[in-house]
Amino acid sequence: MAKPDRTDLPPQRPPSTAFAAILAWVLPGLGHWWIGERARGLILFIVVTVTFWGGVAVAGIRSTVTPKENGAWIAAQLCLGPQAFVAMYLSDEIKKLPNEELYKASWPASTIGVVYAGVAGLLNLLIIIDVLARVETVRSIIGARSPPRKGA
Amino acid sequence: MIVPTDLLHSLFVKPLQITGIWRLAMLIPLAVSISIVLKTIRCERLRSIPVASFVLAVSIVSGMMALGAVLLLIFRLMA
Repeated sequence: MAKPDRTDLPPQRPPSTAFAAILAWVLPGLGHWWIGERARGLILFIVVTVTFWGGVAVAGIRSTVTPKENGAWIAAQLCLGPQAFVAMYLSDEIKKLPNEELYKASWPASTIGVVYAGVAGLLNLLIIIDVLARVETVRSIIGARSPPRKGA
Repeated sequence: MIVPTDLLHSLFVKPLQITGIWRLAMLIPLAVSISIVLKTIRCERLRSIPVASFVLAVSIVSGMMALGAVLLLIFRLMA
């Protein structure tokens, strides 16, 4: 028999939609964790994080999250939240090194790394949308259960 | 002995050289990641995620291979 989720048994106080979205952006899966879907949140965190850092491992951090070289992909990558900002900061630090050309990835590793990191960011965007939908479902259930106001 | 900083340096700072069949093989982990995330979102029961993810990953990879084969055929015919 399946264990009941917190979506089946909603708390008395409805969860905040904006807060859940922010948590999901800060760390992939944290929004799901917060609304009680802990196993789901853990799976999402592991998969998205491994995909992003796998891309970084393929192309090297110098060539993966670089706004000037990767064009629109940076927008997708930054959907992953602080992890992408950390990678971008480290990439800038490596560019300051005198022998930074050593760390520049050649084709096709550069493209593969950028695509992996970008897809990880887009998957996190999907996760944020999903957590928003789940929070709205919980809120509607709580709204339906709460007693009607006087004069309504 | 490998110290963690050396390990991190060789893992995340030095880019890999990807050649030959590995260029195509890199599609597989990406397809698996996309499949797991999509099915984790869609499946209500967590137990059904592994099988559903596997089926979706195989579908993506085989679909991409079929598309590649068709494009190669068209390229050869037009050359």
